[in-house]
Amino acid sequence: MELMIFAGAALVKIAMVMIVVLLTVAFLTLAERKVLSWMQDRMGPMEVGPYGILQPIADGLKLFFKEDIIPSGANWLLFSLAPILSVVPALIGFAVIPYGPNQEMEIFGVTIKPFVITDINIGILYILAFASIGAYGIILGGWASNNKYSLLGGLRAAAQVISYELNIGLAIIGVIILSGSLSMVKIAEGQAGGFWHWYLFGGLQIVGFVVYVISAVAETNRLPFDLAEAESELVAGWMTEYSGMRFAFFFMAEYANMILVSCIAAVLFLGGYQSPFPHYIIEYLGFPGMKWVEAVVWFTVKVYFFLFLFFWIRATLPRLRYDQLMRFGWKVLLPLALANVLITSIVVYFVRQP
Amino acid sequence: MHTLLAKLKDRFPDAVLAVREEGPYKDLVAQVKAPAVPDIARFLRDDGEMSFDMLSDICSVDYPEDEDRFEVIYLLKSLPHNHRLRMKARLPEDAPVIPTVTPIWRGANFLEREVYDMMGIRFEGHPDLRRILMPEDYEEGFPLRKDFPVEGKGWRTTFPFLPKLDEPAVASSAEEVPAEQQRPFLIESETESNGDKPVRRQEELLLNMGPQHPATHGVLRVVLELEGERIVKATPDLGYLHRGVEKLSEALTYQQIIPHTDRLDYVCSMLNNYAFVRAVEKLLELTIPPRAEYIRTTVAEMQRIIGHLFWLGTQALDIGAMTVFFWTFREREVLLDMFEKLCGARLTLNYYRVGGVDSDFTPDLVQKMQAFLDTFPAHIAEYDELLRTNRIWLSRTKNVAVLSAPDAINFGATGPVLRGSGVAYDVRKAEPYGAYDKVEWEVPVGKNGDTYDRYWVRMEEMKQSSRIIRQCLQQLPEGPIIADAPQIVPPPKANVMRDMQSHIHHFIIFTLGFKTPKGETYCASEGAKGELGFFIVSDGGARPYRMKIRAPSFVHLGVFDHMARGYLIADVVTIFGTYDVVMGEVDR
Repeated sequence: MELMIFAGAALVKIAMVMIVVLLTVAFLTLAERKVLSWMQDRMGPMEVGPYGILQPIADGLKLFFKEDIIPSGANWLLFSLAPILSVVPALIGFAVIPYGPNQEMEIFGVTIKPFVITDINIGILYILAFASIGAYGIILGGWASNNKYSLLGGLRAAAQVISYELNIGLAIIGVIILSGSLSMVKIAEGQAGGFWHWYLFGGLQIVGFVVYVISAVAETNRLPFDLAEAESELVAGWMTEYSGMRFAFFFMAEYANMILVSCIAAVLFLGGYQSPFPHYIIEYLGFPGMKWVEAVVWFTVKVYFFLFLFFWIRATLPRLRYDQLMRFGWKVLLPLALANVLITSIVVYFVRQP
Repeated sequence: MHTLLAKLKDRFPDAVLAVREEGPYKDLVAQVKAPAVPDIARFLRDDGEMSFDMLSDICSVDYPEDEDRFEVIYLLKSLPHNHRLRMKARLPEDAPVIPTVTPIWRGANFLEREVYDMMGIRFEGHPDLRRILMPEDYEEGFPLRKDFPVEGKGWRTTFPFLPKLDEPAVASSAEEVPAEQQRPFLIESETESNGDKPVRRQEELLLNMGPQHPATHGVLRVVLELEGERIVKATPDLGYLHRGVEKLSEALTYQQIIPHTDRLDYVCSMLNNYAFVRAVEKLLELTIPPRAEYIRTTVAEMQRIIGHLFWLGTQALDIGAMTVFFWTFREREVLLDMFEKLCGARLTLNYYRVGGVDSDFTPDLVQKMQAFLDTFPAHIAEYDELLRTNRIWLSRTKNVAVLSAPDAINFGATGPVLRGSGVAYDVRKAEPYGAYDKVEWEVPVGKNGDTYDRYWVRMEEMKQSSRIIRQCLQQLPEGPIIADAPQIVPPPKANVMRDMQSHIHHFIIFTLGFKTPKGETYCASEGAKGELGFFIVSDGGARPYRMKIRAPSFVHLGVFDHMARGYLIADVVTIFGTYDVVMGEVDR
């Protein structure tokens, strides 16, 4: 009985999170187009619904009804597997993200945490592990398409993801040293009490933060690091031969990944759901029971800040070249991240001397 | 006689058959024996007094009645001395063979291929003599010969090579392209030491880029031989947009050709119109009223700004900076609206007339132009802010596709490509026309010949263009906008509708065209891409006997392989962008 309630509650949480994430993905495509058009002096989508807000639905329907083409000479098994391999790791990472305060609720005698699907003690490691699997989707998709452009895109993606994953891993070690835990919930909890307690400012993880954000953009294959896709060079890179829902899966994976890395950045560096003030505003107003609402809002604001940053970068920067990207990753970001780890550990060792 | 011609005749008393100064503008012409062409060419290039370092174009004319049927005409340009020379050689019908000049001017590679393709003249010693504009397996002859049938081939539906709707699709074979078809695109294999027959390394990948590719600026196809991502050899394959403008124009009167020139470089129609009407006017020895000259110059510079804005947007988009593209189109829109006010069209304009222009500026338009000029520098600064201060942009353009000045000249590159390499050659300065010698402006010149320098040159040219427009608008004289030449210029439309005399006059000009004096002329103008030249051979009729268009983009694509080797795939799109190729002009 207890197990069933636990499983039921987990399922409800999963369903909630999935709905929110997928809706965000859908409307993120619209948001991106709107933000870009605002920066580029144009209107963006205006036809479907008022101000084009129903555009994602129209796009989704279009993709759903499109003919699904498997090119002759393609390896159909890997060709079909690749989109799934892309989208599943992107969605599965949301399991350990804390969206709100670490409260506990009791339902029929079972204690559950309503704002995180599961609080495993290796949360961040789990995300990194799954994010690496996402790269397989790109590589296999590129290889299985039997297209030279796809192959080149896949190869570029492989090299890029490997080198930048390393930087992500090193960039967050500083935070892990400070918090002393790999659990996302613990990391978020450790930053309570105002923005000067956030690891970005309080832990002086500015270098780590910059390395993380740059690497995250590269990890999600977005401009200026969208070499694997590079529509002006490789047509659409590893996605060239994909159409219909398979293409939509890749598309979803890209946007879900964007949200995921934004969530991680918010939790690790900006205190997650924590208010930038010592207390929640709603507590001052006299509704201490409702402070979770504000916490969720803070979290959302932080995530959307990063998403906006993604769009902003896309509107501003040209694309790097393959060799420049590798040089930047290995010769600039990696030493920076390593130095950050070194300095953080030394400082932490001396500061925390009993 | 001109000293150069005398010197040439002295140096080659046998090989040079005749030298003369032709036409009202005293064009230097040398008639030479075909087998001696390479020797004379080398002398013309290397001799200090001659230094014809640039081969503008190679043209071929077919005279079926003559004993030596074909004539090959080399249009030479000397940048240090700023003079031109036409070297002609006659070839008999049964053996149309002439030695190649590719070792002397590397730019001749594409030009000779075109002559071969169009006229069937073989160039002995040419490294890669294949068809260039027509399909590789085209077997119906050589289109620009006068005996080529010009009738249609019946209904389109009966063409055997078009697939029918009810036919089953041809099953595609997953097999590799046969080695024979791959051969032209592969670099000459080196003989390895372990055997005497050539062995190819197997790691190279042949990548077909285009004609349907988002970044090849139209229907350009390039076959890349790759080693990893590095380019070993790049072979442009042209002709997907070949419409035979040169052949078409042989059947059209001079006024009727003007709209066809719009479709050459369709981004800068006005400049094509301008170049063409100038060539016809040169043939006719027509002088243009000053107001018309100023209007022409103004409009040409507006069009140049449009062309450069278009280039900037697409080049930035190719490298991934998408915002610049929309910003440049915002300004382009303003200028296109002005064109619409001026002549009713936005893209394929037909505004220039032989003898002047079609309609006058209205005060409203002048005011709009001035308002545009006031805001334009701020907009250029805006683009610059996004690009010139951007480290990624700098690293993508600096030291990419470097073209040294001697190479650029040798390949016949002109326009911003040549100026980016540090050669201050601009037709507007070297051979001034319009009102360019009456206004103050400068020729921006790059230093290193890389993509960044060409970017910088074009950005500066936009500023210079707006400077020219501003001065033209200030100096704009009063007067007629079209020459007073009743033989050539039709009467005003208002009169045509009122009195019979004008009506008949109008009718005659538009049905019969106007006659031009017998002769040849080459007239170069500065297009947005480079030197745009029209070479017209007139037999005294109302239609050109032969018209050759020197399209700068076509010549620039001849440099492509030279510039792309050793760079990465990502740089290929940068190189496309840096030439500012427009396929309408390349394929004609």
